[in-house]
Amino acid sequence: MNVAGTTSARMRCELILPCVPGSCRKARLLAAEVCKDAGLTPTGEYRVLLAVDELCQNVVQHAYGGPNPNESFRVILTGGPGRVEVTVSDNGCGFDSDDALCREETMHEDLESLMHLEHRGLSLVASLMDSRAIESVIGGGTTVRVHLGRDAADGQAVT
Amino acid sequence: MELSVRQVTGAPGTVVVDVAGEVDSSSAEQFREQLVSLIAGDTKHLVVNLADLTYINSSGLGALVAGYRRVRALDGTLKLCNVRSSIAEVVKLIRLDKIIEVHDTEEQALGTL
Repeated sequence: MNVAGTTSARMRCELILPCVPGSCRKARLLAAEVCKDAGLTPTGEYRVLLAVDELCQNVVQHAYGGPNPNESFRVILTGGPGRVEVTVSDNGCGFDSDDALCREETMHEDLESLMHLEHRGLSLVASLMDSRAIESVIGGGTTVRVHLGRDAADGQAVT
Repeated sequence: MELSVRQVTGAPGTVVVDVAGEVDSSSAEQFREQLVSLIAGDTKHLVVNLADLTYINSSGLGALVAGYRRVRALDGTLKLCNVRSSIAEVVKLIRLDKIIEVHDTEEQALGTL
């Protein structure tokens, strides 16, 4: 784990994690520290942890065709007063980010959708966070950036 | 994740399920199996007490929906209670509260059965 640039005003943590299920929890635990440092409310913190969990699970389940300890992915967490930004990237198989399911930003309340929430991770993340940006190239990896909270510099939500 | 079951005196077929700890990708399948396996025979009314649940991810929330589907198939009910505010907010966000009733207390949930 590499923790860089830690100050009281801004905290930046970068993790390189093996593509295995246990990595999701490691990323989540570090995210909890960043959220606390940023002064997020418990509700805000929970949103970020859930988003980190979903993004990491997406990588573990899909980027390399399933868990693979020989592959890795990167998680960058940046926290400032009242704001946390998360970037999760991999060099895996990528996907078509124009796909309707990826662009979907709201959740549906039908039983089938809710029962398989874990397959709608990107939609859930979009619902949880203030912004979500996906860059993916088929065969060239994926980067997802999300943020929650306001930028302390100007008091505006940054998208 | 720890799950324990209490029979409710005077309410046949009703149990309170206490869930504690974290339900994440490592425990969600076990949670789903345990929850669904409770629902059999005469046991078809569940109050799931989340007072000591500290974290639940999408797979865990999906397990609750699987339990709900199972009890509905038997004309039973599944209700949530004592959901901490951070989790309750996400339950509302994904509109799970439109499907599964959420009550402030165990007594309230049992009172609606």
